[in-house]
Amino acid sequence: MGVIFYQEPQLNNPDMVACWPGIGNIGFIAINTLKSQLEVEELGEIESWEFFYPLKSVVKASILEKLIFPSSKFYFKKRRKRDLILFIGEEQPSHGDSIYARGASAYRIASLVLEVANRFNCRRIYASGAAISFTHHELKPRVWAVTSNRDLKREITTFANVILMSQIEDKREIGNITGLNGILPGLAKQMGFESMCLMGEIPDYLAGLPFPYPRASRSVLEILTRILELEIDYSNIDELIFETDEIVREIYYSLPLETREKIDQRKSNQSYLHGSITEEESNWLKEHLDDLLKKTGGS
Amino acid sequence: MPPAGNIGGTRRPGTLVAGWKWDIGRLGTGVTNFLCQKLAAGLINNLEPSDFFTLNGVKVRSDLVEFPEANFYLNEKSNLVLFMGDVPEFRWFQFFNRVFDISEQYISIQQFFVIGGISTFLYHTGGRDLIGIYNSQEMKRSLDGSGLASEFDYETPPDQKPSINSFFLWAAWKRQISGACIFATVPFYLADLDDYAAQKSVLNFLNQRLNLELDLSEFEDWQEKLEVKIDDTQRLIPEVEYYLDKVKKYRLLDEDEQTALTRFIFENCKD
Repeated sequence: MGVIFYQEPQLNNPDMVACWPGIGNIGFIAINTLKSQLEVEELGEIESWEFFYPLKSVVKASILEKLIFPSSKFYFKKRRKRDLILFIGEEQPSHGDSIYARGASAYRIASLVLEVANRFNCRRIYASGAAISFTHHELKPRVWAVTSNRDLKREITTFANVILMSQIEDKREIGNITGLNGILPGLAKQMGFESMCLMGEIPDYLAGLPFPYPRASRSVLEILTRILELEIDYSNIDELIFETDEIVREIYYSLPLETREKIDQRKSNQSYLHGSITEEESNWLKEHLDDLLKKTGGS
Repeated sequence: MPPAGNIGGTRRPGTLVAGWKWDIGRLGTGVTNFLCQKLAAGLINNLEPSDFFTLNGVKVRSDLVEFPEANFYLNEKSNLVLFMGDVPEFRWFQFFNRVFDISEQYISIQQFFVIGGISTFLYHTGGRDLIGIYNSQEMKRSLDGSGLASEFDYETPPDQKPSINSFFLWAAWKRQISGACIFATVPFYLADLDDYAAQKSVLNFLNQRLNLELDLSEFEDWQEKLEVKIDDTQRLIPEVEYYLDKVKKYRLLDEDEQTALTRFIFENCKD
């Protein structure tokens, strides 16, 4: 069991960008946007049945014709300078009680992704996910960065709108990235790759909602495209932002006035912390989530 | 000591029959327990649960603690391995392969059957249908004439997932083991109870296919007792009579009515 290759292209010092779904599908939307814009070619896929429960079965005349599993695919793009490999996992291998991979399955799938990176002599591995932040939905999401070495750390801070995790007021020097979008850059570092995780900010009060947060995906994309020297068209993601902004606004206006006022303090207070919602308010949100989504037509 | 079926170092061709604990109509437990008892099939092996279950506590059912199980039983005479266990919570493909690996210590698996129930709007006195889903044309052909409904087209609806049995059957196909899912129809309100009529249908099929020569008449007595209990419940609770009448005439109840009927029947007819 492992990886099936559709072709064996000669790639020139490629970078790899990988993602799995997570909170707000921030990295997932960003990397899928890259995939659709770059006219990539399919490179191969991880044999998914080792990790996932099937999504669909097809039976014809009582013969089980096929099972369809969440895909875990590699793509590549030949470019003038460095080539590019994209990896998109449709699901994180679950561990019974969590949507995030952990333990042996997480290690195994991350290892397989990095085996491909190794096979094609990748230099750097980029992952992307969400950064739950005391920000406001009307503020441009910043991109939190963690890297595998000090040089990369210096390099990434030269980009506008990027902040290191250690610069976040409540994080100090210690943080954590849950799931495969964190495990991958960690394991990549251990295997000798340069690695980086770019996390788009999502307001804490939206982090538990079951819909995407493409504003943060756009922020991540802006950084990634500059690092990788890519030109892309943002119109599709902007359309998605327009649609989700509507839902976010409706949710915001359904919050109690006191909570809204507290959240609004964040717009003028860049340290954000003073405007953080209380645990009680956060619980209120969770309890009313179904009602809010019914009102807004979310799913 | 070599496993019992591995005489002289050559594994005999045999059959693996798998079922799940707490399946619809308790098909898995009902069928495998009966086979183990009547064929004197002894426990030969089990599967370590820690690789496939979260084990962050223990389930309690009717005040009894339950630990995940995955047990293997062997009847040497028929070269039959029976597997009965809890549905794994993750690493399903590896779980199925472990089941095949362990079974192949005792037999060379020539055919594989995984059994299960399908909840339907069937009235409890009606006949139970058996539906076969196969992983090869050869298996389908070999079961032609065995009374299985066998011309189904099906795709998992978007809001559902395939059954664990389909995945198990697919895993068998990956190992080039010919197999079939044998599903018995079960009245939805008997889903949490032993549906003896459905269990008997499955056993009838296995009896013929594997030449087991088992007497299944006990199932008729058990089913009769269950039907008496259902009749008593109808007399006691007018709602149950109303719901059952609706099922009998129209084969239809709304979701709340289904839940209520299932609860009433379970509470009044459980052992």
